[in-house]
Amino acid sequence: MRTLHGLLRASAERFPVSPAIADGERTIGYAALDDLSDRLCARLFATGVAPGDRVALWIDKSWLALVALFAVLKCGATYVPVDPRAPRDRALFILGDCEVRLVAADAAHAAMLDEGGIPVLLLDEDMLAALSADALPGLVEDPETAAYILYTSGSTGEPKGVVISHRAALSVIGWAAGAFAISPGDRLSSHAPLHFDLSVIDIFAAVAAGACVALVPPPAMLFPRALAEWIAASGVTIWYSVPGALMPLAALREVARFPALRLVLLAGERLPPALARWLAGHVPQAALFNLYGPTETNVVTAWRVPKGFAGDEIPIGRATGDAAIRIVDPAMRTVAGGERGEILVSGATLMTGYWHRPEQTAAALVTLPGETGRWYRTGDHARMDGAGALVFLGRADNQIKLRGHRVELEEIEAVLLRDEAVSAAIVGPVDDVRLGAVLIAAVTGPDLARIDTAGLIKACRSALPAYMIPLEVRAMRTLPLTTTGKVDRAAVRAMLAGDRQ
Amino acid sequence: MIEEAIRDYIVRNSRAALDSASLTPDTDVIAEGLVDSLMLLQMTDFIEDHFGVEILPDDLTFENFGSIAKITALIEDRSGKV
Repeated sequence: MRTLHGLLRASAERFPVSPAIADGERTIGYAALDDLSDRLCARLFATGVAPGDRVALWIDKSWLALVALFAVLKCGATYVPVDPRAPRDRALFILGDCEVRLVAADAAHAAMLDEGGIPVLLLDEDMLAALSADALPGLVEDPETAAYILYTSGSTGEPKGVVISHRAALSVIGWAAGAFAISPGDRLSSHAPLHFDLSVIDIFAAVAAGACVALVPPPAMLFPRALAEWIAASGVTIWYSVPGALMPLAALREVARFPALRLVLLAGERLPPALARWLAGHVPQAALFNLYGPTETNVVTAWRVPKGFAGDEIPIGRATGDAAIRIVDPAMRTVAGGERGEILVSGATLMTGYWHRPEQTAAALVTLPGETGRWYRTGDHARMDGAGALVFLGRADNQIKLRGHRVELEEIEAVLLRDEAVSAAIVGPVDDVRLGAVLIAAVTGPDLARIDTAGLIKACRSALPAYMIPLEVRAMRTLPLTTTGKVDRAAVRAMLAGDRQ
Repeated sequence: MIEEAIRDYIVRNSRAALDSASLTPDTDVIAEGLVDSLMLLQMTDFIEDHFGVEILPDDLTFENFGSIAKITALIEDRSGKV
């Protein structure tokens, strides 16, 4: 297969009446999904979309959004999913940064865009039902085309777009479909939003296998009991999400059994051993895998968690598919067995680069002496355990993971520093019993009376996604300095953490 | 009193574009996107600190948190039992 939409066409021919998408009460079969996305593709062409263009999807995840996603791909265009909860300014930045030709939006999001600005295609059921059945001239199938661009937090203060080609995405999909023996009888949960790279495997691996992708309904995303009931009732056989999505289930008094579940895949953040133990007891028939991979590479390591696992840290495992992994020291030399180093990744799953950011791309994708190909510097640290599995050890820089989201603390600090009253700002993650971790900011300035902490939080709200908004901003007379006179991040963060306890 | 405090909390903390005049006790705060998963947890902290009641994971349901009126009823119910 050469493209992601080619997977849909093939499954529509092999399994025309099998369910492709389950969204609440509605089920869309493969032939119907293929036909609807053909029609919408023709409509996109008619509105001026051409192969190579970017088309934004600013819409809550739904069967409609998935029809649009495949329609964009069938045009030979690139879909750019925008966080449906993103503040308007951040969404507008993304739309402008990658110069989208068109925004496909539901009514609520279309209303947030100015008339006369970027063209908007309003997506709803009536519009879709009214599309004519003109045959497409044939699929545009170029594996090197960018399939999607996912925006992630950037340390320069602006989000950056990770460009992924069909070839790279298909490499991950092919590995997942084979390694987990996904078959037409499977139902894959779809929990991650479209702008999150986890969504790629559940949607496209399901389509590759002719399986059904079942969208987790909104109340189940919010309320643990509703989630447990949905997993039990929906007949999901493969669950894939960040660990944090399942954690609340372990705290419920009684949870229905999940008899259909055969596989639990968790990725995106540290897998707490307590969750693995709860799953081993509650869903004994399901295999549990810990997966690892940044947006720039998608999944590149996996580890099957044994039922009786008793350690403190669950390994992220070994290289998957055709990915190659090296653990290197700061001079980019492979470390001796068991030593700590940075994870470098090579192989077909690598991103093409960051959209229109050649310097950042060059810094991230490097060559190694004596090795072929490009290597992605993850910035993540790991060591290899005695059995050859990688153990994640954290990061060297100021990037953290919060409930699975990548957060560059400097991006938040940049927003705080835009305020003229603020001369220095440090944001730190602080452990919180219930929330896992929360962000606290410490700011200072020449005139403390002029610092409006509530105003700063407001500024963050209009510029940053929810998970990046500090819970609290504290104005401090001074911030601790290092011997070189720079603000001592580590000291500020230790202070914030101490205050919280 | 309780209803006013909850309403005020949602208006102050929600990230969604909010027309506060249209927020009634029976507005579906979930469907309107006014309460997301992070805010739900933060709000339970607020409720526990502010009203001295305990909220358990099993209490996190639409029936208890779907609107300002529902949240108010939950707090009143729990306060009565203390």
